[in-house]
Amino acid sequence: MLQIKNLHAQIEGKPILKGINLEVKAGTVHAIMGPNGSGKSTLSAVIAGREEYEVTEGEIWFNGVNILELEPEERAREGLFLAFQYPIEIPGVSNANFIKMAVNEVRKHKGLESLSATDFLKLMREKAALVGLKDDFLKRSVNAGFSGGEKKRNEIFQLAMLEPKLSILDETDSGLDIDALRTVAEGVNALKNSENAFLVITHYQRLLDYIVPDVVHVLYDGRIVETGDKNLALKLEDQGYDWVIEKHKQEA
Amino acid sequence: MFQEQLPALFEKWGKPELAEIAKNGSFPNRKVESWKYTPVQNIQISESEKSHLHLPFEGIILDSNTQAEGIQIGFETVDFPRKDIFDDFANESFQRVLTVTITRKFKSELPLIWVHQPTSVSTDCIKIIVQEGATANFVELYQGNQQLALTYSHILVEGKATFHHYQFQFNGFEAGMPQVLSKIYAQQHAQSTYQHTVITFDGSWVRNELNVTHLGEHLFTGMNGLYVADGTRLVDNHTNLEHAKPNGESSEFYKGIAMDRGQAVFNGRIHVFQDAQKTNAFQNNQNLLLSNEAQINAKPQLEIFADDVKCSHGATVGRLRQDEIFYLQSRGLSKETATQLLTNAFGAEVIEKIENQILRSYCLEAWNHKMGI
Repeated sequence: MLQIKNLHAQIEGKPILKGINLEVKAGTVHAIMGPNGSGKSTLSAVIAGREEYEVTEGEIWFNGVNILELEPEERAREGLFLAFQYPIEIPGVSNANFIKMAVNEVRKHKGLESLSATDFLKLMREKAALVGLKDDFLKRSVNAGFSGGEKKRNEIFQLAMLEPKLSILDETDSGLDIDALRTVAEGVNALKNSENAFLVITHYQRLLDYIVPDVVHVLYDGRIVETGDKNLALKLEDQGYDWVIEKHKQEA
Repeated sequence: MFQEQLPALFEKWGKPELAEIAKNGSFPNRKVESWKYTPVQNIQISESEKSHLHLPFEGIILDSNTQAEGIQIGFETVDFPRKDIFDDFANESFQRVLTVTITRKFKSELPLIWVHQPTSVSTDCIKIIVQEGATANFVELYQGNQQLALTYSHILVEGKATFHHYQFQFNGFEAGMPQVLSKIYAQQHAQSTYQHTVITFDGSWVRNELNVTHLGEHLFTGMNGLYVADGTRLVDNHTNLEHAKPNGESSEFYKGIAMDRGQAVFNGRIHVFQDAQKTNAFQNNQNLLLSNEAQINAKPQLEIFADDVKCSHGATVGRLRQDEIFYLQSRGLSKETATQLLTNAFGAEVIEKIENQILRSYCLEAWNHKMGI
């Protein structure tokens, strides 16, 4: 589904990613862990197409399309979703209207008709319930005045509505209490199937207790330096990142 | 040019005394500080027939024939301060000014409506007295195109009275929106509320002057505005609040958007008198500049002479945030749609503050239509 080959990226002339290789297959959950400043958020931003980052080398293939050529909205319509670490507030635009516009863009791209108002409302209520958001949330402005937990739930709500093929969760666990974390994880688990994939970016292991990864990667200084199964995450939880830094600092 | 055109228009209209003033007087120019960015020569006048009026919502139209429980209609003379030639036109024309007294018996939910329908140049004047404890919504609506409405209002809000004053300067009528020079002089007594809201997104040349003076203590003044200068349109808002008594509270919130080759002006003066202690004044002016040719001149002007007050102000001019646009793009919306949506949201924040649900919905609908949403 996703193939990243020798990806190099920089911001304002400063190299951040220094040769990422990664393959994610349908039906799998990959976790990307790493110390602060290792390039985790940059990787997610580059995959989603954020303009400020310049790709200097390498390729990103998504279901046979070289997405580096595509605008962020085209990537989204192809089935890529980024759950933001810091979701944006949009006063004056209701969640219902916002998600309706987004869903209709994706449906149009797939050659599908827009959903009827009734079907849409039904779908929204169902997905809102999945992440523990009350109906009145639909009428409120996008993320305006939301708590940290509500914002993250809203990200997963949008994910559920858009049904992407690949979802990147960027530090979705940050700022969440344990109840919200569990709800968000249950939401993700309910959406997981053999056709889609998840890339979970996190500093801490605790989210991975709930969303169990098939593969765990450790990112350090712009490269993936370790790859293993879920036990690698447990080792990091137990021993921290010092051993990774010690082992790979010569290469850096 | 407008200045040269005016005497003939007044003659034709049967107002030789105004024609005389127009011929001999001098018009404000860019050397006058408060008119620096608002060239009067850009006003363009053509004549039109008065077209039929369709009110966009139910209301009570104010004129000499108005009959409503709790409303008294009369005529008085009013003197307005003379600062420029337009004030000379106004004072010369206003012999008998429509005077509306709103008593406590006025209980209607319907807004009072003052319609401006110039056929070339009009001088409209009204005096409103909101009696002690009375409450009313008052809406100014406009109809026209390349005409000019000079509008003067004198408003007296007595003790414990509440008055919501709206100016809807957009294409709410099919007939369009004239150019406007509006001057409001409002005075408030103790424990009263005067809430003003002006929304401008049509009309090729619009200047609004809002003057509020406090005559008593423990009162509230609210001033909200949304102004949009697109195409080659010009919108100017000059507000002046005289915090003349202690314990007064005020909140001013104006948002502006300039795009294409539009020009917007905001000047917000707040004057806190030396004995106006415990004043609580808040001013916020945010502007969005969406093109290189557009212009915004924003000037907060706080003159504080009391020492025990809380006054805050902020003025910003900026562009849409890249991270906000990216967020919408990452959900499948194009950059153009994202820009449109965020600009719409920026303006909607002012409209959302309108308390009256019917008026709020009307403005939101018009605003969404303007923004193509």
